[in-house]
Amino acid sequence: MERRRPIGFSPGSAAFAAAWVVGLGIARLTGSPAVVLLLVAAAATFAGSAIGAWFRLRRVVVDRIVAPTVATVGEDVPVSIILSDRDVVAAPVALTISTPHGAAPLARVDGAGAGAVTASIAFPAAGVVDELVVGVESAGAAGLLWWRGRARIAVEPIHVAPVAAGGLLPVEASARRDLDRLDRGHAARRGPTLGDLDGIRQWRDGDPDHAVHWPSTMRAGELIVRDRSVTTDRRWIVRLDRLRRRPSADGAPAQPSPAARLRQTLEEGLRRGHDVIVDDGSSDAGGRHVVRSADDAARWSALCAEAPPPPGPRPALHRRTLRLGHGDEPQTVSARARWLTAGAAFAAIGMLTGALTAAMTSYALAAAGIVAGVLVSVRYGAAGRVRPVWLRVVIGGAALTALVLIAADAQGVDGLLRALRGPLPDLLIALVVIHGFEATDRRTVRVHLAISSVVVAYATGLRIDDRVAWWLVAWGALVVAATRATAGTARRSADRAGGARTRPSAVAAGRWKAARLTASSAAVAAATVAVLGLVPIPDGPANLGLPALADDALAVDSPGALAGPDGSISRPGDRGDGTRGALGQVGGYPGFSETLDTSIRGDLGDEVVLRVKAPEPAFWRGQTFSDFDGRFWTVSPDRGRPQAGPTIEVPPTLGDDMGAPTSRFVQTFHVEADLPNVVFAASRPAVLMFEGTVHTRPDGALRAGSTLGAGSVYTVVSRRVEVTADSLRAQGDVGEWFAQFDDPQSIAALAPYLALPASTTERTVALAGRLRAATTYDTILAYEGWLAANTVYDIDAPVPADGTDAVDDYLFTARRGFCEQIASSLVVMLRSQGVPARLASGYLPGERDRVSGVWQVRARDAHAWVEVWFPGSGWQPFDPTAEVPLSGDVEQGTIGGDLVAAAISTIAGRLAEGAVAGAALLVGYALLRQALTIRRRRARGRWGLLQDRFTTLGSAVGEPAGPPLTNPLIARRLALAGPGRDGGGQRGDDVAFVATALDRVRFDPAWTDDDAEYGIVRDEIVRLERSARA
Amino acid sequence: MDTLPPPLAAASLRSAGASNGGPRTRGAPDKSAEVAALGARLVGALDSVLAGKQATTEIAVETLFAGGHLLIEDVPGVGKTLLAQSLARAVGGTFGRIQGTSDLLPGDITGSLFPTADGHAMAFRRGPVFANVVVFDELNRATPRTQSALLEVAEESTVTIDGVSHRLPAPFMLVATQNPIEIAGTYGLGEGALDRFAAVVAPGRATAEHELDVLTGRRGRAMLSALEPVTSPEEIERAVRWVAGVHVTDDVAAYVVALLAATRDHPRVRLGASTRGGVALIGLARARAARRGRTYVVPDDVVALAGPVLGHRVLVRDGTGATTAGREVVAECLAASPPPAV
Repeated sequence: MERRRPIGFSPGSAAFAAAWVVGLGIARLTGSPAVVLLLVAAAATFAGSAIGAWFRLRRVVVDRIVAPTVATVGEDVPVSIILSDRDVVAAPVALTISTPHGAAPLARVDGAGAGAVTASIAFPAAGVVDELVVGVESAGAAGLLWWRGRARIAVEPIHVAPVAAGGLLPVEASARRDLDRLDRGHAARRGPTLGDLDGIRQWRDGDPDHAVHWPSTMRAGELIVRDRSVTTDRRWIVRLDRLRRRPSADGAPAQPSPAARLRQTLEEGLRRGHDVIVDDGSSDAGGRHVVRSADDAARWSALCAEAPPPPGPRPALHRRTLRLGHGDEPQTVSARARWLTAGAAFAAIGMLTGALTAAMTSYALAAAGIVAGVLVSVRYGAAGRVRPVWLRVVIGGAALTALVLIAADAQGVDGLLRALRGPLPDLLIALVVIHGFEATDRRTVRVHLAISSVVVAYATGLRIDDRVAWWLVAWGALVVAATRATAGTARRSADRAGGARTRPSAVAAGRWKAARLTASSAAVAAATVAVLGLVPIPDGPANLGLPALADDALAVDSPGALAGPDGSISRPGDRGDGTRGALGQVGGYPGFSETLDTSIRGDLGDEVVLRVKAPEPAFWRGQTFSDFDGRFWTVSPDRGRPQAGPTIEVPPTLGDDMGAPTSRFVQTFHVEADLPNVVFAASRPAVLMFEGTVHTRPDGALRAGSTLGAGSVYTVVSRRVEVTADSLRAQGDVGEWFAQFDDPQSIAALAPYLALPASTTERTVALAGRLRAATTYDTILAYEGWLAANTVYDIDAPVPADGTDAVDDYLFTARRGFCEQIASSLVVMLRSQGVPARLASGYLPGERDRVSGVWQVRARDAHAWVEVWFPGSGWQPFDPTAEVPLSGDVEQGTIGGDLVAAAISTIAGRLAEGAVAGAALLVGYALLRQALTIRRRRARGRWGLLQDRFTTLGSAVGEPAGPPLTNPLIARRLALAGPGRDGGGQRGDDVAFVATALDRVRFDPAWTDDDAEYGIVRDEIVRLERSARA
Repeated sequence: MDTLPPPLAAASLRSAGASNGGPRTRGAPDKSAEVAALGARLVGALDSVLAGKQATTEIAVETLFAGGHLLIEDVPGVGKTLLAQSLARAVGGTFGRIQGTSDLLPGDITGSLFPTADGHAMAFRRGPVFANVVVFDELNRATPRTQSALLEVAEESTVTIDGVSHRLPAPFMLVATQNPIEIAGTYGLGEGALDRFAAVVAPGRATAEHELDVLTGRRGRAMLSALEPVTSPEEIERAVRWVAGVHVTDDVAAYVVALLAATRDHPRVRLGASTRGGVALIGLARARAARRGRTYVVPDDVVALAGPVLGHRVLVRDGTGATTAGREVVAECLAASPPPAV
C-alpha cells in the first residue's frame, strides 16, 4: 500500500518557493522594507490558505458510496460519493477514489456537485472490492498546499471481472464432446442418432439449422428449435483447481489471465445452453456451484482473480520522493485565470520599468507582448491544441531577437551592480513576456506568477519613489485573484442552471462565503503586521542604486571649488549682494557656498530634492563652517585632495576615530533636483561610492568634480559614533577639559573652532557664562532651552544693520531669527565657554515613506545646525531648532511598527478625505445593490418575487433529502406546521390558494395577471412570513 | 365480427377528439368540474371497498383516465385482486378475468380460431381480454410466451389473429397483479412487458383500524358485491379524451425530460427510463390534474407520480425483481432536479 502522505504540493508551487528564496536574497541585498513586507505578506497568505484548507478538509465527511456490483477490468463504471455536508464541496476540494491496494487513484473529482459527486472509475485489476478508499484533498484559496485525508469506506462488494478474452479453459471431456457435437451438427453425433423429441425451445447460439422447428417458428415469429432428450451429459463443469497453474515466467501480457479464461469459459457454456457448474475442488457435495447468469460468471472469475497478484517491481525510491504530491491535478486553467496572471505580470513589469524610468514605448511594448502571450496561450492552451509551426517560429524568433538585442546592449557592461540595473531588468522583462506565451497550464501559470513576483521584489528593491505601496497593493490583488482562479476549477454550472428557482440557501451561502473571505483576509493582514512587528528595519545596503551621474551634470572647472547648481563657481569671500529672498533655484540654499550670510534664508519651496534610502534619520551634512566674523561664515580654505570613484575611502578628519563605538550606516542618495557639487552624507562618511572625482576636505565636507544633476545616485557608508545623552554627559565639561589639555598640536588644530569674532558683545559672553552647567551637554541643553524660551523662530526676521553683530542682534534686540542665526548664536556662546564648535549646513532627514523606507528631502529641509567637539566622541551635531535624535538614542524600529504608524498617520491626515471616500463607497454599494435588485425584480417579475418568498418559507419546513419542494407540497407542509392549527382548515385553504395561484402563473395557459389576486396572495405570504418569524 | 379495420378506427378516433375538444374549448369549467366529479366518484367507490388505500386508488383512477394499464405489486393479502375487481365493477362495462398459471397459453387470453359448426371455416372466438377492464391475476405465473401475448394488447388495444386485427372495446384497461416476493415457479416480467404498464402501485399493508374494518366486514371483499357501477364506459371514454387535452407547458415537459435523463445517468441504474415512460408520466400527470379539476399540469403532479410511473422502468444493477429499488432511484433523481416555478 502506498505510504500515506498527508501533505502535497501543487505543480508550480516550487516556483513560488524559489521566488520566495530569491526575494529573501533581494531583501538581504537591498535592505528594502518593502521586499520584506512582500515576503511576509506572501508567507502569511500561504499560511492562511493552508490553514483554511485544513479546516475545509475537516468538514468533508463521506456518508456512503453507491457503486454497481459487477464491473469489468478497464471498463468505466459510475460511482457516486454521497457527502454528509452539502455545501462543502467547492473548489479547490478534490475527491479521489482508489482501491485499498491500488497505488494510483482511479478517479479524481474536482470540487464538483453539491452533496453527491459522481466519478467514472475503471478498476485496474480483477477481484472483489468491498471497500474503497476515498481521498479528500483540499487546498486553500491559493491552491498550493494540499491536505489529504483518507477514509476506507465499505461498499457493497463489487465484483471486478477480468476482460473476457483469450481461449477457453479445458472443461470436462463430456462437455467437450457435447460442444463438438453441437459444432459439427447432429450428423457427427455418436450414440442414438436423434433423441426423442422432447419439446421445443428458443434458438440458442450454436444450434444447427436443421434442428429448427419451422411450424413453431412460423407461429411464434422467432426461431424455435426442437429440444431433444439428450443422453449426453449436459453439464459444463469447470474445475477451479485447473486455474492454479504457474504464472507465466516473463509476465507477458499476451497471455490472458486464468480468471479471464474462466469467465470466457463460463459464458461460453451459458451461451451454449449447458448447465454450467463450477467445481471448486473440495470433495464434499457443496463443492459444486451452479452458474446461472453472466453476472454469476463475472463473480466467479472475480473471486478467482482475487488471489494476490505476484509482487511487481517496487517503484524506485527517488521517484517516490521526487514526485510532486499533487501531480494528477487537472492542468487546464480558465481564461480568466490567464488574464489575471497577465495583469499581475504587467503590474510587475510596470513596477520595474517605472523604477528604471523607462519610456512609454517600453510599457506599450511589454503590454502588447503580454496580451499576445495571453491570446496565444488561451487559444492553444486547451488540451489537444497544437500550435502551428509559423507561430512557434514567430515566438521563437521574437524571443531570440529580444535576447540578442539585450546582449548587444549589455556590451561593455562591467560589474555586477551595473548588470543589476542594466541588462538584467531587460532580461527579466523579456523572460516574463516570452514565458507568457508558454503559460498554458497550471504549473506554468504558477511559474509565471512566481517569475512576476521575483520581478516585483527586484523592482521593489530598485524603486525609491513613494508609489511603491500602491503598486504593491495593485500587484498583490492581481496575484491573489490569479492564484485563486488558478486553484479553482470550472465553476459549477448547476448554480446557473437552477436559475428558475432562486435558492435562498445559495444566497445565504454567498453571504457566509463573503464573510469568511473578509475574515480570512483580515486575519492574514493582521498576521502580516504582527510578524512585521518583529522584523527590524533592515540596515543593509540601502539600495541596488548604482553610482551614477546625471547626463546634464556640469563639470566644475576649478578643482575642489564649490559650484552652484548652475555651475557658477562660488568663491571664498564672495558675499553676495546681501539681498534675501528666492535664489531662483531649488537647492540654491545659501548654506551651500563658500560663504554663508547668516541673515539670508530664502524661500526654498516644497520640491523634493533628494530621496535618501536609509534605515534611520540623520542630518545629511553638506558643509561645515569654521570661521565666523559676526555675520558671515566661511569654510576653511583647504580644499583637500581629489579622489576618483567609484569607491572612495574617505580619510578620517579632525575629530574622527576617537575610539568611541561606531556603527555602520548606509545611505543611498538619489538626487531629484539639480544640486550644487556638495556631496551630502551622514556624519561621518567612511566609504563613498561615487561616479567621478570627489575632493575629500579636511573639514569633513565632500565636493564632487561636477554638479549633482537630477538623476545622480551615490551611496555613502558612514561610521556613526553611537552617542546617548548619558555618554555625552559623562564627558563632563569640555571647556574645563580643554583648559587642562596640553597637546599643542591638537590645540592648534582646534583653535579655529574656538575663535570668537571680534564683534562678539560682552552680554553674549555673560549670558553664556550665566547659563553654563556642570557638563557641556547640559550646558547645550540650557542654551537651547533659553533660546526656545526667549527667542522666536521667524523666517522673516529683520536684517540686522550693517556692522552690528548678528548674534547679539538676534539674542537681545530682534529676538527673532531662523536656523542660521540660532545655530550661530549657539556656536558663539559655546566658543565663549571654551568649547570647540562649528556650523554645519545640509538637509534635515525629511519625511519617511514607510513602505519603501525612503526619506524624502524637500528644498525647505535645507538647514544649518551646530557641531560640538567632544573629547571622547568627536564632532556631535546639535540642533536647537529641529528634533533629530542622537544616533545612539534611535530606537530600532520594526517594519510592522512603521507600517502601523504610516497607516495611522495616513488615516489621521486624511480623515475627511477618507470619510468622504468611505461614504462614496457605501453609497455606491447601496446604489449597485439597488440596481441589482431592480434588475432582478424586472427579470423575476412581481409573481416571481412572491414565488421566491414562498420558496423561502417552504425551505424552512423542507427536508434535506426529501422530495423537491413544489408549491402544493409547501402549502401542505405549511398548513401542517403552522402555529394556527386551531384555525387549521381556514389557514390550509389560504395557503393552498397561494400555491395554486403561483402555479397558475406559469402553468395555466388561461392565466391573466390580476391585481386583486396578486394583492391577496401577497397579503397571505406576508402573513405567513410574520407567523414564521413569531 | 365487430372489428374495425385499423385505418377506420384511427379516423373515427381523430374525429371524436376534434368534436369533443379538450379543456381549452369554451365551457371548460363545466367539463373540468364534471371530470373531477367523476374522479371523485370513482375514488369514493373504490374507497368504500378498500380500506385505507386512498393513494393507491387515486393512482388507479388516474391510470384509467390516462388510458394506461396498472400493475399492482405487493405481498399476498393486501387487496391486490380486490382493487382490480373493484375498479372493474365501479367502471361498469364488461369485465374480464384471467388467472395466471404456467400452462396458460396466448390463445387463452386473446382468443383463437375455432372450426365453425360446418367444419369448413374457422371463426374467431374472443378471449377474456375483450372487456373494458381486464384483471390479470398473478401475471408473473404465466410463461413469458403468454406474457408476450399481452404486449400488443396493452400497447395497441388490438388482438391480431391470423392476420386480422380485432379491436378491443374502449375504454380498455389492463389491471395486473404480481407478487414480487414469491419467485419460485414464476417468470419475471421483461423490461418490455413492464414498460407497457403506465404505473405500478404497491398498496402496502393496512393499518390496524382498517384491518379491523376488513375483519368486521365493513370493508373488504364483503362490500364488493354491494359496489354498483358509478359510471359508464362512455363517460370514461369522454373523460379520457378530456384528459388528453389537459395543457402541459414546455417547462413541465422539460422537467420530465430532465428526470428521464437523471435516471439514465444515475450510477445504480443499468437501464434508465424510456421515452414511453415520459409519455406515461405526462399522461398520468394530466389525469391527476383533471381529477383535481385543473386544466393544466403543475410540477407537483409530476413529482407525485414519478415514483409509480418511472420506478418499474428503471433497471437497477443490484435490484432483485421488485420495483422498490427503482423507486428509490427515482426519488433520488427527484431530489436532485429542482422543479420549475414562476
